[in-house]
Amino acid sequence: MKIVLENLTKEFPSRNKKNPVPVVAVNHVNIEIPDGKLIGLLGPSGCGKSTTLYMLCGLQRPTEGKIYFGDKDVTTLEPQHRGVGLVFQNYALYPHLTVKQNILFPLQNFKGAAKLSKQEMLDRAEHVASLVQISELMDRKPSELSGGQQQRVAIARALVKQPRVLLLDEPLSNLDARLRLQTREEIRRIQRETGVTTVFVTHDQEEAMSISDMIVVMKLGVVQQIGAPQDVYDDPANLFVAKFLGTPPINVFDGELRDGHLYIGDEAVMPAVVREEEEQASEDTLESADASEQPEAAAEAPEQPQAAEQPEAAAEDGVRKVVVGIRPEGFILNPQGKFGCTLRSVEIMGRDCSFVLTNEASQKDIVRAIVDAANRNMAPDEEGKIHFDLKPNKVFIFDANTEKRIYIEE
Amino acid sequence: MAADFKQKISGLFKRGSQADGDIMVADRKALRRAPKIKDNDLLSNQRHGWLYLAPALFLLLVFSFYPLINTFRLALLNGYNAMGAVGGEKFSVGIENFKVVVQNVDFKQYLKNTMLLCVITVPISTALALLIAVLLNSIKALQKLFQTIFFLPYVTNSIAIGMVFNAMFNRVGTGDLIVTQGIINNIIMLFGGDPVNWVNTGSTWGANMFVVCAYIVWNALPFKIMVLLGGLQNVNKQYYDAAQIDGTSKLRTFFRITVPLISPMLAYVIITSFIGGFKEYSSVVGIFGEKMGPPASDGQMNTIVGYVYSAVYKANYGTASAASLILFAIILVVTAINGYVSKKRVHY
Repeated sequence: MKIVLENLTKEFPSRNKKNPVPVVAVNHVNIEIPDGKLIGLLGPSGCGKSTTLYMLCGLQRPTEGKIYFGDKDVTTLEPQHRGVGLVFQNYALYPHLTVKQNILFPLQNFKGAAKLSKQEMLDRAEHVASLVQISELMDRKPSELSGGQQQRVAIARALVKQPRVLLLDEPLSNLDARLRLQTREEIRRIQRETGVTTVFVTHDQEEAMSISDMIVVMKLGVVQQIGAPQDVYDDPANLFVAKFLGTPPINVFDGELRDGHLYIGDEAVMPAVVREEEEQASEDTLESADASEQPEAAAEAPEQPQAAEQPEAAAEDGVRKVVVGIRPEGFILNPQGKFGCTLRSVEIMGRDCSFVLTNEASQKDIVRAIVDAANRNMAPDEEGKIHFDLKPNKVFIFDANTEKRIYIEE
Repeated sequence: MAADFKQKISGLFKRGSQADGDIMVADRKALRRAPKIKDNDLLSNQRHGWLYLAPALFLLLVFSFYPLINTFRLALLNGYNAMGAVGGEKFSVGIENFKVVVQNVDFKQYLKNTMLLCVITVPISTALALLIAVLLNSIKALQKLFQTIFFLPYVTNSIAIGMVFNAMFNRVGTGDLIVTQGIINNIIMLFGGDPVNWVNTGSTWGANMFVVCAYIVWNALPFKIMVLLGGLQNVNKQYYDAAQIDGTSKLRTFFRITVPLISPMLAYVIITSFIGGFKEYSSVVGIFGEKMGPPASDGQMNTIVGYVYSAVYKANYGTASAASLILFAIILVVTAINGYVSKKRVHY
């Protein structure tokens, strides 16, 4: 079932009595979730992703805005009438009931026409149990299960009433690294097999990227970008999104745009001409989160003056302060390359190797470049530097003040 | 640059070693001051342990263990009484005391009273306490205030409460000269009922029982509410969220989730109130005074502990000990049953 969040806002009253400014946990969020897809709500803690989830299932009421399931407005509908299954972060399995009783529990609440016979209930419980592969654990108590098994039971309990929407709150955060990897594949498989529209919340970008059909990146209650994981990674709308996605994280430098080139420190690392329409589109970056729409938006405004070629930030001397993000895989080793960094060490990772570097303009202590392992013995020049060319599609330029993306000519 | 780095590193090391040196000197000084470690160090440690335990152990020996053992001894000395013992009388060993207690008609009545008090008050007060605790837990405003109000009886003297209960049920005056029927009767009459003789001369055993039970239930509530409220507040709210999303009715949530999750507290409350019920005494004294019954019906509401006390007053330590041991056996059996049931019913 399609889910639409329209202008969704949640405010919590302030605890500060002298200055009662409400805390805005979720700020005018618009998301359209297609039917049968797996959506990852992604962001650092406190970004409002869990609050959004709780509003979806009805445990919290939005301050403003609407939620639609299909064509039906469910904004004020009680949780039990929404037909959602929720898997809690710590599973919330009833500790005094066996796995079987836990899974049967939602079915035993059915009333009237929906009421099932004992045998039907058992059949359905058996079915979901085999789906999540816990059939042999049915008579155990939750305390006798491992974290991963509890996780499956929780999913089974959420699925057994055949919900229209499955919600998962940080489903993997209580599992160890290996189990996490395995379980996220499981979630993907179960979602594919049941075809239920699924929304899950996570702060782990790798987790979200690996299994989602679509990710929604949030920060401080505001949606930063929505899109397919690869699209968002390849085309971040702002510095936050660029920094948040990717392991190892993106390298961030202070830079300048002048003379049609991108400068990092004193080095003109690559040619860069700002797209004409950039000037105008920048205002809308947050609203129309899908970055690819922006050129069109700009085209609709023909009264763009000629002066736009000179960016407004520092129009007089033709210098524009920017922040440059370079993905670790965006470096090409080239002794004649334009971008030089001081080599500190090399980390071997088997297929690849990771050059740990320093650069004066970098915002962090180290710069990380991932290159083919064959180059691991690359010797620095007499100044201790390694030189690179940059892959243009792995370099993102952001405005130094607004941190919004500046698009350059291909 | 490399030389610079070397200097920095060596500087670091120097500073490090200096700091280490300081600590070592301090350690050596401390060692000199400290007593030398001996082979029997462990033993002296134990000696210290026993020394610290001694005061409590001494008091326990004198006031708990000795009386406990002596009770068994006295109960098994036929016809043991204080006067005889002082006079140098020798007592044979046997179960004479138990026979005396069991064959006593009054004791049977007291046993019945005590049993009934337990059976009536424990379920009522527990259910009532659970209800109040759930209600208290579900309100936000004034929760602390109500908590305090419900806790007040706990800090009030039980004899004083008994006297107030007596006043509430007491009729003052006789025949045509009735000063008051007592507030409870006034309420009954307000609703068109006939006044009941609760505690006065000629009042029935049933009426007496009702008053005592009301007193015990009311007096037992605060402690139970506190324990159960503590249990309720410890229940993870997510279980209720999960139940709500699954459309669980309030009643089913209560019986299938709340009650099982606080079952350890419930078991604790039930076991302790059974034990307390079998030891009931001060409530009856509070309401009826030392006669343990309405005027002219002495002992009508007496309990096992009351029987023990009166035997002690009469210096019949043998029968008092025997009655105590019978009470002990009853409590032991009931607690064992409670324990067995709760093992099956109490989760985790």
